[in-house]
Amino acid sequence: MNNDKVKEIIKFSFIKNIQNKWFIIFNILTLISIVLMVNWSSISNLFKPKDELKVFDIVLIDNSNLVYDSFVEKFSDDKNYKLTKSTENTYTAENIPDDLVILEVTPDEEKMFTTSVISKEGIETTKYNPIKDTLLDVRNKLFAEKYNVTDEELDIFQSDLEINRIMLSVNAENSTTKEFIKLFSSAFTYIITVFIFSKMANEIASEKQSKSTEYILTTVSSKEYLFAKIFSNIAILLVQGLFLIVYYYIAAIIFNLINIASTDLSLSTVTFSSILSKDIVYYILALIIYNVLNLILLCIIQATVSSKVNSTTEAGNTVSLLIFVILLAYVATVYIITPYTKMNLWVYIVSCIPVLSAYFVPAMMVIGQATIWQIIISLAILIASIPILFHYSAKTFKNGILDYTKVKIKNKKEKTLEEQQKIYLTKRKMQNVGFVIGIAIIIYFGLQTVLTLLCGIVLPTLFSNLSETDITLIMQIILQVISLGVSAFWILSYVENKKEKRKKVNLKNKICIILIALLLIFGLQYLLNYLLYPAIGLDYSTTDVFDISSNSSLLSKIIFILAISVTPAIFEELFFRKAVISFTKQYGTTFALIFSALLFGMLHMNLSQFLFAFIIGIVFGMIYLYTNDIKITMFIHFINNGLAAIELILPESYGIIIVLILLVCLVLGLALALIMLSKKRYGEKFKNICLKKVSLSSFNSKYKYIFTDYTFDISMILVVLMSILTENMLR
Amino acid sequence: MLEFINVTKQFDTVTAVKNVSFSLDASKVLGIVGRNGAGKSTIFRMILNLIEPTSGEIKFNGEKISNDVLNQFGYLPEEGSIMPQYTVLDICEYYGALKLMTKDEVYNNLTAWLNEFNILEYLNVKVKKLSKGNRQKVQFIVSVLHNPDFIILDEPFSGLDPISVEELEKAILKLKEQGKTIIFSSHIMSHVENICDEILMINKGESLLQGNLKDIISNYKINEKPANSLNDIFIDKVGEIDE
Repeated sequence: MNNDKVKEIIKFSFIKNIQNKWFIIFNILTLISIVLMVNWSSISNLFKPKDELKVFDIVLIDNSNLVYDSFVEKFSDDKNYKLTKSTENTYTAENIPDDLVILEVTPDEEKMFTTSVISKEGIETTKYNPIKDTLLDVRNKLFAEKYNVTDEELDIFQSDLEINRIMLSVNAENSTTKEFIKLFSSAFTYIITVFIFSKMANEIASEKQSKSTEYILTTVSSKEYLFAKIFSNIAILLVQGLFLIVYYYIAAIIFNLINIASTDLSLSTVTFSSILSKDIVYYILALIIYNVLNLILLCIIQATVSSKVNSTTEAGNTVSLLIFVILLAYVATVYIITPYTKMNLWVYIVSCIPVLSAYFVPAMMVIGQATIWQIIISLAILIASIPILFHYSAKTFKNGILDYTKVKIKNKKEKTLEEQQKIYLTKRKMQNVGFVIGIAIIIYFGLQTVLTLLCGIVLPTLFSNLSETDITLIMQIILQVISLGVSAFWILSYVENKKEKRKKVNLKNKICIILIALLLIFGLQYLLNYLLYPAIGLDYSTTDVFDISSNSSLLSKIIFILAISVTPAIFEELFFRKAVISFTKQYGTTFALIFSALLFGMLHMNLSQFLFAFIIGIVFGMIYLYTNDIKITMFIHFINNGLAAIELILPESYGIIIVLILLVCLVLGLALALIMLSKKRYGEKFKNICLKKVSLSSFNSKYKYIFTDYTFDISMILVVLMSILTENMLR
Repeated sequence: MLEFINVTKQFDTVTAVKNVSFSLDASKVLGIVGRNGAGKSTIFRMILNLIEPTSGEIKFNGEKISNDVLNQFGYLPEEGSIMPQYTVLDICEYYGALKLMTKDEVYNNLTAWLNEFNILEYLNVKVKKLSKGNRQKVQFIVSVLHNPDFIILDEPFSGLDPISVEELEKAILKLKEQGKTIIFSSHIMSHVENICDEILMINKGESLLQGNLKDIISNYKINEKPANSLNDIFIDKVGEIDE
């Protein structure tokens, strides 16, 4: 290795980092913080006026004179307390001062006395405990007097249980100290690992971006460069550590200067000699060696990974990745190496693997399960792995810096450039669709979760006079409005507001469409609920969940109607028809139709409603595509849900009238439908707009790419999981 | 003397350089011209040992190019190589030290070159504050600061105003007179014509024309008429291949 050049690289990186203005600012702030933290009590004392001594007032109302003497004995000499005797409590919430406590002592036959402690706010533990202890003492003394117990007997009774704890195994010696050292060193190494990773990754990434690394690699080999980077960053780390120690000493000097007058305060330094036994020294040594070697190894990995990034933000991501891996290793250690684990051969073998050994072996040393062979072998492997990894990383590092990637040619039949471009564009378009819909679904579920939590807390207190069903329904309304509303808004923000040539659908046609739609829907409901589902066992109603009947109050009925038919009608149509169809229409009307219907079915999250919702989704979709008027589908949806709701809240007698009205509508609608479709022009117009040829090949070539967006995949998995959950709950 | 013997470079999906050979004596300037993506930068990277050729040999003065040999090389990369947050002096001291120069040598050479380009006032200025053209000048200075025997310049004239172009051309010729060997690449044929002794015209990795510039211009015929300029020759030759 060319030593001079390596030295130059190290020097440059080191000096530039130390002289960097942000580094200096950070260190100044750290110095100030350390000085303040160490000297906090002195500084706060400087600002407190000396005369002001906060006195705590105790007003004792003890007409039977049970505790007064003990209190006088305990508190009259203490400057922090002022004891006064009184016959009754004259303080109220308005005139009671802070730092005053009233003790009312009343004699009691069994308990000796009962006490009330009255104060304005909570009392600091340090002030309260002496009072409590004194009261307890008095009570115990009175008890002793009553039952003729001597003072010595009372002392034994009040004392702590003496236990002679003996641990026979030699290894268990000092295990608590070792455990403490292990925890402290883990936190410490974590901090310095994050520090050095971030510095190194950012430096390498920014030098790669400025192309200076490429230039430097023409004068030095990648090994030399890699070595120089790692070395300089470790040097910076050491310097920063030195600075911190210096700052601590400065703070200690300032502390001693301030307190040179008063001798009762002193900076206690932990006397290390008291806890150092040979065992612990070996343990600390092992910790240091393992952690240092581990750090070097990890730095090589981090540096190599950083060479592959394209920006400094990506560099940050790689640091997070590696830190996460390290945390996993630490957690694995905590779970695997416990005093209760059977140490079989596998554990010993795994503990020799390079990065893991730095965590496993010290942990095993703490519980006394580490063997000499294990330590020797794991250290040897760790030491040996460093130059080996370094050798192979240098090549990867060079390729990363120069952005060489090995692109494998897939041996597919050669597509022309045009075909490839077309596929690429389609894929991008579909990915966009997946992204928008995926995020919309995630927003929906996210809002549902948050709002359910919030409403669960806020609504019962806000509407405490309403029944539980009412509150649940109000929550439903809020959930639907906000979740569906926001998600729809999100999707609509991606829809370009082109002035659509609105087909002038006249009123007569609109009414016909409404009636035909209602016919289809009611017919379908009849088919499914009374014929199909009982046959295959999907027979459960979802509206039984609500405790509502014809006897409920008017307000409850109104809320019920709102929650079951008004808000779903408006907002579900807004989301599934207006938002989803307007957005996906540009990629194919049939696709928009089927996709929106599928989503509609899936978001009801149970099997019986899925089929019904899917078919209705198709019907509504076709109507929306034909008329471009969302209000029509909203109206139909409202009628459909409304009738289901009304069924529950109207008394029995009205039910028959409803059925009759329905029947009339159905017949009318059927007649109209037949008449309309017989007139060719309506039939064909309808077909042209809504029913285009659907083929499986179009799915394969175009629509499958929607799954290439990972947010869409996640949202689909979410929906499936929630559906399984809801399905189970309903059964 | 640089020898480039039957060099091919095959990446996984594309052959960047196909069996190119040329040689260059000392005190000569070679201009490499070609369309975007023709393989010029790849050739430079192979000379500088950044990439290994798939086949063929590259020799300088009869020996393989090792890191020690590279100490005598100067390189101006196409996309620059200077870190923008440091001053001109800092960068030159660092890169100079990597070429084993002392700080005094760096300072003397740097000020001489800055004077040459009339930008002495930028000695202590941070590179990010310089305009593109001035940055390019500093970039050039960095590549020749250590007095290399062999200089590779990848698109050195990009971003320079006409006066600066002349200054740079003068500088290159002066270096040539000092006995240096220079290769550079450019799109603008007038630059090539002004200072090159030899040219190498490549397209899609293959050598189309190479040799002494004057000979080529005098011998080349477009539609039975002698060519006027290298520009015409280029358009004719490369256009002919692409048809």
